[in-house]
Amino acid sequence: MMMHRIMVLDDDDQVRDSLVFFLEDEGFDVLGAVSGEDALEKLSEGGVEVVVVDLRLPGMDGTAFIHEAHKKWPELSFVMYTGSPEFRIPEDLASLGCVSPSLFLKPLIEPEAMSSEITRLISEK
Amino acid sequence: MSQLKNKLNTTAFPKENRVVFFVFWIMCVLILAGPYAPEARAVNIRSSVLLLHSYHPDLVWSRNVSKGVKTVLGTMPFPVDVRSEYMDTKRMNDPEYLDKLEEIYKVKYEGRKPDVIISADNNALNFLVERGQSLFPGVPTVFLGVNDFSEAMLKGRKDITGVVEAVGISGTIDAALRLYPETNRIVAYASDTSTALSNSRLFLKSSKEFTGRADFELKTGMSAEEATRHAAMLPQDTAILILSYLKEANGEIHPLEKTAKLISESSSVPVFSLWGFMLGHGIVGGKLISGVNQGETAAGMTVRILKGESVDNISIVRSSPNAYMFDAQQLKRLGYNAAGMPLGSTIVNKELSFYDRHKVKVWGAAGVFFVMVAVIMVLCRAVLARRKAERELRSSKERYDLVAKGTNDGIWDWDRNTDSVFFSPRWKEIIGYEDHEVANDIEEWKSRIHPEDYERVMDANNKFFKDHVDRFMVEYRMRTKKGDYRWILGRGTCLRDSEGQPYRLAGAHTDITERREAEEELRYLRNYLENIINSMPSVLIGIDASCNVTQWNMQAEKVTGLSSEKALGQSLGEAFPALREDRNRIMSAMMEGATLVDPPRVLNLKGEARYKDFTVFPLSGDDRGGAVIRIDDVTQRVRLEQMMMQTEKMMSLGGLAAGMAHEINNPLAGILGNLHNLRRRVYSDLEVNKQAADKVGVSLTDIRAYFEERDIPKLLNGIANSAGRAATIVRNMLSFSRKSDKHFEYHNIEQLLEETLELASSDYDLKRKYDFKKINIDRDYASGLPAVYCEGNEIRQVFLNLIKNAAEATSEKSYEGENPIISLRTAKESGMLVVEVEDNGPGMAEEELKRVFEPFYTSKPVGAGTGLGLSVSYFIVTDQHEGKMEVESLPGSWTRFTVRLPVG
Repeated sequence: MMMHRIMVLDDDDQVRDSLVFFLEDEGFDVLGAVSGEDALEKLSEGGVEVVVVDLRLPGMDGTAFIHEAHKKWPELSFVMYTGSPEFRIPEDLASLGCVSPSLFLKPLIEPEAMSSEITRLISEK
Repeated sequence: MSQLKNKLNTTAFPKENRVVFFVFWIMCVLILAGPYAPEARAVNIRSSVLLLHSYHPDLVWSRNVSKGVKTVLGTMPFPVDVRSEYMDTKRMNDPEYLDKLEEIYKVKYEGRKPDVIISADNNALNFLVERGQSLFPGVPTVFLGVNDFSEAMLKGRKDITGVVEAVGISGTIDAALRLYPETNRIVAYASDTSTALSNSRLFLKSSKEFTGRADFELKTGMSAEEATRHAAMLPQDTAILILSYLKEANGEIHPLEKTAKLISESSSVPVFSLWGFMLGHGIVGGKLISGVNQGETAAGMTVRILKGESVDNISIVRSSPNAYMFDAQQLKRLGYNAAGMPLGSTIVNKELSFYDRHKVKVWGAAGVFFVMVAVIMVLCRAVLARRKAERELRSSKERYDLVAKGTNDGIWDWDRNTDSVFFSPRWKEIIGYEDHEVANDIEEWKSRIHPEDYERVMDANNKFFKDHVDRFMVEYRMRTKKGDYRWILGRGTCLRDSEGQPYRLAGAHTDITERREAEEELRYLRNYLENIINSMPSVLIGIDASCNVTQWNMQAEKVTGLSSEKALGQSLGEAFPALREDRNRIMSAMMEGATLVDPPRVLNLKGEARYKDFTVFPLSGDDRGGAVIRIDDVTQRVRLEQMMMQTEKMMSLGGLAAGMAHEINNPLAGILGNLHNLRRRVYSDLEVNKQAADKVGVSLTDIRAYFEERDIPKLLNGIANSAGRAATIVRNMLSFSRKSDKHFEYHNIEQLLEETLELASSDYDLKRKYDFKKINIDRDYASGLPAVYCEGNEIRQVFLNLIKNAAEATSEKSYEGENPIISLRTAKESGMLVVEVEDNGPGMAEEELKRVFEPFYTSKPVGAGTGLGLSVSYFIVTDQHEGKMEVESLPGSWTRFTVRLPVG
């Protein structure tokens, strides 16, 4: 079976690693990135279909990253995952069509919801 | 007279009658003195003088002689009795007649001889010289009127003296020429009698004295008629001199007086003659033989004899005592040169003076005059007294008028005896009438009294009669001519009779309409001001300079429970004990005139703690001092400020919480994520798990058994629970502090309730103070309820408040045999979604129920609650969501809040 490559962008090591482990256990080929810049570099290697993006990041924030990445790789999908409960997906991101309408808040009580959303995003391509 | 005088003087008279009496006394003296004085003098022994006339008493000559004699003898200090005898020898002079006379005198004077005899004219002297010694032996004789006297005539008698008579022709002519200087001729008439001849000789002799001055012409032998005719034709520069008797045509002697009259009447020139008795009969005058002078001279000699002087020593007076005498009538008729009037002349026949003519009348008039004077004096005195009284009366009247005018009062005066009334013009003017328009009748007054005042006025009036009051004062209205009413201040007093009944009432009317209107206005303003003061939401207290209450408004009554009536006059500390300690500060504020403003303070009034602002305004512009204290209830403001501070705090806390939540959520995500991975790598049947187990040579089953044996799943669950709870807390906390704008969405009401319950159970206060876990939550949610369009956060806040209150309520009650329960019910009722939050706490009293939604109302101790929770909830439900919010309670059993929200 072919393994779908996805990326988890989060500056928090524990959060990133735990999500990477989970998604690997779910059968994805998972890359970790600690910042937007790091992620863009790793994406250029190709093969990534979905990126789980944290909003608050050192340097380029999640929103800016999505815009940047979308320009370069329009086929790329994004899932937003944040610790800021008041966050709503802004219109400009939603209108891109590449961002999952489901917003995932930290901590994830049911991580399976995210894996199934990622699976859904990949399957829609 | 002196006796009379003494008698009068000794009589006592009232002082006031003295003037009147004095006048009468003078009058009496004047009236009585005249008639009675001579009698009073007739006292002494009399001397006796016999006046023996040669002729008869009808002759003017004889009368003049008598007059002269009596004039002198009458003035003697001793009384002299004068007897007159008239020998009438002009008619009869023969020796037989003289013998008879002698016989008569002898009989008559035998034994009553006079002290002195005065003989008048030649015949009497001759009679006495020849017969006197036998008739009146030793009686001295004084002769007068003797013509052509010679010593021989006395025949050696030594006891005879006297005064001769001689005509004054030269003197007369001299006077004639002086009085009539234009006279150039003197015409003299004479007859052929011895006297005429003698006088004619003397005339001719004296013509020599006047040679060159006037021509002398002697006419003898003319009868009286002839002389009269002659005289009538004399030129103007002539003067006539009658030297003697003239005869009539028949040879009879024509009386001299008649002759003179005829001549002077027919002639226009002055006529002169030589004898005094002819005066008044037409002659101008001359140096005339005067019977009076002869008599006076002889009487003077007689006096000397009576006084005891010897006749020898008294020499005969040989020059006739003639006198210049003139007739004023003739002088006036003819005119005369006044400068030529000889010195010592006697003017007779003057126009009789008024006094001469009316002597009796004059004296009578004088008497009347004096009586009148006396009466006038008496009257004057009376008039003066009356005038004084009048002046005083006038002054009094003027004073009365002035006062009445000054006070502008109307005067009334009611005499009950005569039932007459006086209303002054001003009295009538006050009610708009002219003086004549209102009759002086008491009914005129009564009928104009305002019906509402009538009883009161009559009562005041009757006090005179019933209560024996001496003064009354009453204010009432009187109808005016126009029909409107004027306010009158009626004042009066009365006079009482011996039985104490008033018989005369009088007083004044003052028009006090303006005053009453001003009072009315004042009353209105005071009332208006009172209303304004009372409408104030502030406590307003007026105090005087000594801190006693002078004003106490309704708010003050409400706050203190002390009525204005009781508070007025009390000291501020008594009336408002909460301000007792401020007395000194208030006093000094009044002294300095500076407004005192205190920051809000907590005052416990009627057992309720309220925030009050306290301001003292010292009264300015009034010497009496004092101040107004204003106390405002600013509890609401203070609470709002506190709420704002709280909100501000929450806002900043909200910002902080949002940041914190993010930071906490990351580790939580790490914990929970890894925990999840851990569980999955042990318990799930993942291919990688089997591969890894195979690789190390243990079966998953063994590992799981080991975990089971060591209670590892339990530990993992503990981590999961703790982290999960931490995650919930953070989420809920954020959801309440979120600064987001109002965000209306469709919400499941059940879900909102549950979320709120979740939050409440994690509420620190609830957990600490009230053991929330011990409270049974009884859910009774209706199924199939529609979503509610609402602001979720706000509704959550409402529910939280209700649940917290319910939890607090249960903590106030001790439960025996039951548990504290909070019942949550939902239902749908007529388009509204109903949520009930009920507790089985102590319940609320009715008073508390009424006020429970009031802002700042709290049953909690000061500082424990803002008192806003329920009121904000009420606001959110009713205002923001157009819902309803109610509370019900059964004290001691339960309290139920019901929230109704519109569906859709």
